[in-house]
Amino acid sequence: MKTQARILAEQLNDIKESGKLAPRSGSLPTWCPGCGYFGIHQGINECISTMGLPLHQVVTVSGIGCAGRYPFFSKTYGLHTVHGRALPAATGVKLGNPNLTVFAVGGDGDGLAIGGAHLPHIARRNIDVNYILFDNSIYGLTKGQPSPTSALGSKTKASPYGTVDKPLNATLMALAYGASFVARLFAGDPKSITEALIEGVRNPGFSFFHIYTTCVTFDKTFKTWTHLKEWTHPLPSDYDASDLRLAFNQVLEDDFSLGVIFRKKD
Amino acid sequence: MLSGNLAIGMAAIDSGLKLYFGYPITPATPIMEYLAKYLPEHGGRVVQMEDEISSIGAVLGSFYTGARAMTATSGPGFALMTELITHGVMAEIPAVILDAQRGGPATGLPTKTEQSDLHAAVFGGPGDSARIVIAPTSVEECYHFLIRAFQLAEKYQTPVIVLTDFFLDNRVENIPLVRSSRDKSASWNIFPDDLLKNRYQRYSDTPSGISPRAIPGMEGFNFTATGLEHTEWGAPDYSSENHSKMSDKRHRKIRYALNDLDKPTEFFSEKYFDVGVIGWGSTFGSVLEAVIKSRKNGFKVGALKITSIFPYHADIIASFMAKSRIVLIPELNYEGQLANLIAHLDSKPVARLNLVTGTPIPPSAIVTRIEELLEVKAR
Ligand SMILES: Cc1ncc(C[n+]2csc(CCOP(=O)(O)OP(=O)(O)O)c2C)c(N)n1
Ligand code: SF4
Ligand SMILES: [Mg+2]
Repeated sequence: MKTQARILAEQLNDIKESGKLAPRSGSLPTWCPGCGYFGIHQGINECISTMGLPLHQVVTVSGIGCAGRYPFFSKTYGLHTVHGRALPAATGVKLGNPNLTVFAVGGDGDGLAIGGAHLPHIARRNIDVNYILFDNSIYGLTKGQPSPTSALGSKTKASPYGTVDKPLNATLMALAYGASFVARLFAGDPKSITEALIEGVRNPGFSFFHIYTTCVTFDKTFKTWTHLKEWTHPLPSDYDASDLRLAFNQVLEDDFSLGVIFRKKD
Repeated sequence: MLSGNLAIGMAAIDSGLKLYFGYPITPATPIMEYLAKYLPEHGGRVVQMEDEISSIGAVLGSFYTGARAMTATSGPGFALMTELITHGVMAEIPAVILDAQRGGPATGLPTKTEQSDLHAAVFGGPGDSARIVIAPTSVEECYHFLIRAFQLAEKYQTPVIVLTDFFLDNRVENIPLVRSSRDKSASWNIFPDDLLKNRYQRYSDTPSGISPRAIPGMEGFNFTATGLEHTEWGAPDYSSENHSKMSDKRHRKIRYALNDLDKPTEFFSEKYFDVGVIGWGSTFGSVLEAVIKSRKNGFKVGALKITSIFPYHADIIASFMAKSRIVLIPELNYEGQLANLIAHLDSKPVARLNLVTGTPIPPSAIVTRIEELLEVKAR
């Protein structure tokens, strides 16, 4: 009879040998226990290991925020820039050496507030960067201020009477800006993240991944694990992601359908 | 016949520039337009970005992979770049930034000449962020300094700022240019030794402060470049010992760069001057002309040309100041920005001539100032 510990050890060994852990860096993520980012981390790492991307040919670029810390937890080359500037730096990286696979990662404040001017332009230039937006609708690193995707009326220490600014819809924006590949996903489903990423990495243009995730520390009411699990669901089974009009309609009508929203036919 | 901007465009091509990122602004735009036309046939590409922040961001991203890149702007755009310039300082990523100065502050005087971005170039941005700043004084120097900027940026892994101004950008000179690009495009990168594979410290603390730099694609040298204070390995670390040590390393490196920077040049070398005039940028032409004139008028006057703005050759500048009974620094700015930077090198106060007329300093204004200073002293 195998002991429980023995079984666990064997499972761990299997995972190690599968190569799935290879893209993780030696330092464990410093995110809070329960943070949605662990699921995204797993999704990205499994994309890299499944595709067999050589780690020295991959660059992960980020700005600042809890999400911006990502490159330190990855064994790829990393470029941790300043708040909001992951996309310009990623543009330089990809054009500087087109043989590299480039991931850009960052939070909703990083990408939609301070860095909001860059998304339209990297999309219209169709630079082959895979941009993963960790959308927890809050500023995590600075301890819980509202973000551009916080629900109307959100109460935080910086908005004690509730926010009065309407939230942005990042998926809708990416479609409008002309991104050639757009997926909307959930941090609680790393497998779907991996699948979408693999397709996006193969897409020879700008690919956008809008990931709903949770900040367990500073958001106890809106994008919680419970709510996200309850609200999210797959796209309709007959959904055709190559139809841009359909994509707009789908996103306008339903905030929580997940999957590949749009892929440009060549 | 060549303008400063044209010389810069040609130098960029001869340097093997791969990518130009920029946003239109007077008086730097002609550089982007020239490169947009000619860079593609040399295998490069111009990308008009959405603003100056993204321009410098993309330059850093490109240099991070080892590809030479540059941007050119003027004061308002330079101001937007400062955060990322200090990122280049902290993360030790090369960049070449040309600031074609115009009248300021803010939108200022877009079509007038001024030398009022020196403080911003040397000090702009958060933190102790020493970087390299050089300033050509002629069209020929525009060409050579831009080439040197790429080499310095690669070797010292830091943003290099080249300061020109509206007048220098547009003035045409007849100059002899030898345009071979073989040595000009040769890399000055210092890559890590193969022995360091799998135990590579990106920010190793060396005697010169220069840490061999790996680029993506090199197997076994993966690291994360970061603008957070970090250890020699590149891991974030805010401890007092580490920040002290790494600040020292970065500043040591910039001081070390003096070895590759042009020394100040003295004109009419003598043991002693009644007035020693120090000039920089396009103003130096007027300084030289004025000094020649004053010497003809019988005054014991000399000139010192400074092109290495930061770091600067303190010893050479100090000895020129010491042997000048009066030191005069004429500049096209209100605050006396070079004077503010170097006046402390001598115990006597420095005399200034500051004009913000938007036009080049007439040599006659400097001649008059020299005579004024000598009369005041004689009385
Ligand atoms: C120029 C600048 N402004 C402000 C900050 C402070 N700051 C750091 S992260 C952050 C917001 C983080 O929120 P988000 O981008 O959503 O990332 P998260 O922490 O939620 O992952 C802010 C405002 C900064 N670092 N730099
Ligand atoms: S503060 Fe929030 S976003 Fe940041 S690591 Fe903790 S749970 Fe995650
Ligand atoms: Mg956030």
